[in-house]
Amino acid sequence: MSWVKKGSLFLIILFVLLFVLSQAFLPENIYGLKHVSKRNRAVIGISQEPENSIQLLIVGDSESYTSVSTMQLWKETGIPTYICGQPGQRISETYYIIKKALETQNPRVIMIETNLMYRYNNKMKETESSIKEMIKYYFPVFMYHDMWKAAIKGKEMARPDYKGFQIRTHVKPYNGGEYMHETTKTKKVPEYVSEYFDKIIELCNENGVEILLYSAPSPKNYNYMKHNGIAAFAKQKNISYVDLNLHLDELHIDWSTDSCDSGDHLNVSGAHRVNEYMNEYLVSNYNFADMRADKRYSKWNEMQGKYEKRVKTVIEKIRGIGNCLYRNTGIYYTYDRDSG
Amino acid sequence: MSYNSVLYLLLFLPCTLLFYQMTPQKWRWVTLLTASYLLFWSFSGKLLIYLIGMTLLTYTAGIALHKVSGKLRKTVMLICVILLVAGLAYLKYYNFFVSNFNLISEETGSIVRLQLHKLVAPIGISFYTLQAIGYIIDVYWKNITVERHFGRLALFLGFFPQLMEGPIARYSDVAEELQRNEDIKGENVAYGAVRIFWGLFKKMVIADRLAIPVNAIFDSYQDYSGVVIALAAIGYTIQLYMEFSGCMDIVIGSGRMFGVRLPENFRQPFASKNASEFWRRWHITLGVWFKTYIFFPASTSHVVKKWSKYSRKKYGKYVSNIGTLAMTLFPVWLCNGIWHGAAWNYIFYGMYYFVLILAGEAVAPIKKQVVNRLNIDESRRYWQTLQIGKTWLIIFTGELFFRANGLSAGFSMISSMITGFTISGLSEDLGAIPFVDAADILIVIIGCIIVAIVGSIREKRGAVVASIDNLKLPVRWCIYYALIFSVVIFGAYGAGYQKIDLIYAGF
Repeated sequence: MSWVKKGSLFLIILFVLLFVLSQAFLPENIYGLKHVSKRNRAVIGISQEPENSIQLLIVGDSESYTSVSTMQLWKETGIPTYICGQPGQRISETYYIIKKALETQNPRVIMIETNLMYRYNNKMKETESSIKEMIKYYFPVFMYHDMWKAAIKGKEMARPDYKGFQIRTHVKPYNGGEYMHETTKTKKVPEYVSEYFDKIIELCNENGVEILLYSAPSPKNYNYMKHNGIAAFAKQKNISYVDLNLHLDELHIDWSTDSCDSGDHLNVSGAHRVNEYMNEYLVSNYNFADMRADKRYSKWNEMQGKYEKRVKTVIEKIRGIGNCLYRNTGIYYTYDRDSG
Repeated sequence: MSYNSVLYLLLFLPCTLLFYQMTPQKWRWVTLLTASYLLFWSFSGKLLIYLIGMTLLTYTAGIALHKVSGKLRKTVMLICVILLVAGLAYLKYYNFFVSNFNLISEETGSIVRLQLHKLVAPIGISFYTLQAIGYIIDVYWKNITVERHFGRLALFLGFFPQLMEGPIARYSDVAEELQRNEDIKGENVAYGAVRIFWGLFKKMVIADRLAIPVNAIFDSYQDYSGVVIALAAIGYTIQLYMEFSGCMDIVIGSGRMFGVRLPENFRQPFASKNASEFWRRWHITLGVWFKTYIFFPASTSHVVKKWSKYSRKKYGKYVSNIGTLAMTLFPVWLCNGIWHGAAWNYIFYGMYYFVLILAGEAVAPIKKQVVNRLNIDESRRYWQTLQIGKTWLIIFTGELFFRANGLSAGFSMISSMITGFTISGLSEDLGAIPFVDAADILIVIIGCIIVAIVGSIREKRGAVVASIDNLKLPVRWCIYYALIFSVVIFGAYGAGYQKIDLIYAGF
């Protein structure tokens, strides 16, 4: 046997073994093992939801999982929503996470938080990131390889999140004032991101899924130049776009209480304000079915009950006295020490 | 695109292999040189012009050395060496020199201040500059014939596997194989792949796992007890060895795939019985370079010869030998320290070994007498273990200064180790170190044991990969798969880990 043939056989066996190992290393369930890093829980989380049970999928970086409360959305509209957000998510990760989600889900709409659209290093780094994501998609063992730790340390249950939403209870005000100064200048979406986005559009079209771009309120991450860039991009690609940074009055965002880190991310109070606006927007613009009465979703109601119990007082406190406490002490404040 | 990156391993290296094989034999050097310059460009962009300029200078000087004779040869050689050193010194050490000059000016009340420059040194400058100097001196000494083909010399200086971290090859070591342009062969690819995965094992399973806690302790050593600092010094030494030698495995493996046998840089350094032996086993090519181009010329220099003659008559053989050794070792270890970086702790690191090696030579006769008096059999295992233990202590202390954030931080850490060495509260201290849990510690220990076993086999029987080749195919493949999957499963990569840059690429 020539060395080329031998080498090919070696590689075939290697791929088979990688495939087998990938199945063996899949974690048991989303809330399961702590050894799955938080970043990867989003991927395993959506895969383990019952098939075709999610109507709205939200993807993006940390802005995505802090800006819309899935449980509040469920409570008020009955739209089963899952957030596949990851800290610093890159466009290639977005693509593969959507691809993974569409294997088992058929959402009507995918909301993409736009902060990731300006996350671009250089072509080489993005290509590397893209190759890595592709490898992880086809061979999940590269994503869950740390599961061997469970054999040594035992199974440690991770604290649950709420269908991808992460509760932030800190208050650290944003005091920078108006940040969306109208201009005709544009910050163009990088070409590489635009090209990857075409792949996402193609994937969504193949699956009959609508895309909605949205920008979460964030003085640290947004300005009018970016708004113009994304708006132009959305128009060019014929995609709907909602920039919540231009609707702050309608959202009633109070930057003295609603941010957890001086205007980078929203805390749970801020997220609920976004919900008040977005819930109505989604119901009036898309044809979602209200699943609250459906028995298959009884666990969602249970989870929503627990969620409400956990956040109700926290939000009241944040909106009531948070600002006052900050002014008095000059330090930011946490209401719920146990929260994630 | 570092050697352990996905882009290098899965795209760059396979594509280069493919293009290399597709290129007619006569032009394969072009493929390799293009790939080398592409890799260089991926790190340093336009600074590629520096590498090309440096290659042109070396090439021209080589040709000139071949053509001229008499005293002019020495002048040509010196001009070229001075220009090469000046380029390195300016890009790497100018700001260090200026900062210290300004500090002295300030202290002495002088108003003279020099401007700091924003300088970016091209990747691997310390490595290929030494190769270029070595080439020029070898041509001057007539050890080698001059390379008349510019492309081949450019490939010798910029061959992509060794561009970032060496090994610092001598022209006579690799020129022939670089020029052979042989076809890609199965045995070379297999050997190369095994070395690459072995390197990845050392880097990703052990070194990268140690990097996070080690960095945390070195960066805020004030928060930790003496025992934890001592553990960090040991941890860093292991991290550095696993990373650097692992990278060398990847480099040597990559070179071998093209049929080029690059020189080894490590030979079980932790089996050394003294500091001198350690440096014959650690970063071997750097040691050989300093020995060839600094130690030997210094030993035969007029000043040293004159001192030797004078001191032998005046003070006797012992003092004369120690004095001569000091005069020849001092420039070697000063250069060794400075070569590693523009900081006082690196200079201290070089001087540390200078003093230790010199002291070792100075006390050698006394030690011999003591050993004889006590009837100690130096070949006995207990004695050798003691010597190895002593060397470990020297290595760990040296690496502590090497890694410390400045020389004063290094001394503070040593002071904490001496004054705060208590094991009470150790578990609490260890618990406070980020990213240290039982599973990770266990993997590091198992990994080190495996590396030690492989090292021991290599020490006793020679090349390990070659012995695997003699095994039956199913057994051989099982070993290969085990190696690959140990990296895939136990590697410290992906979410939850940090990307750790190659340490020596920074030098």
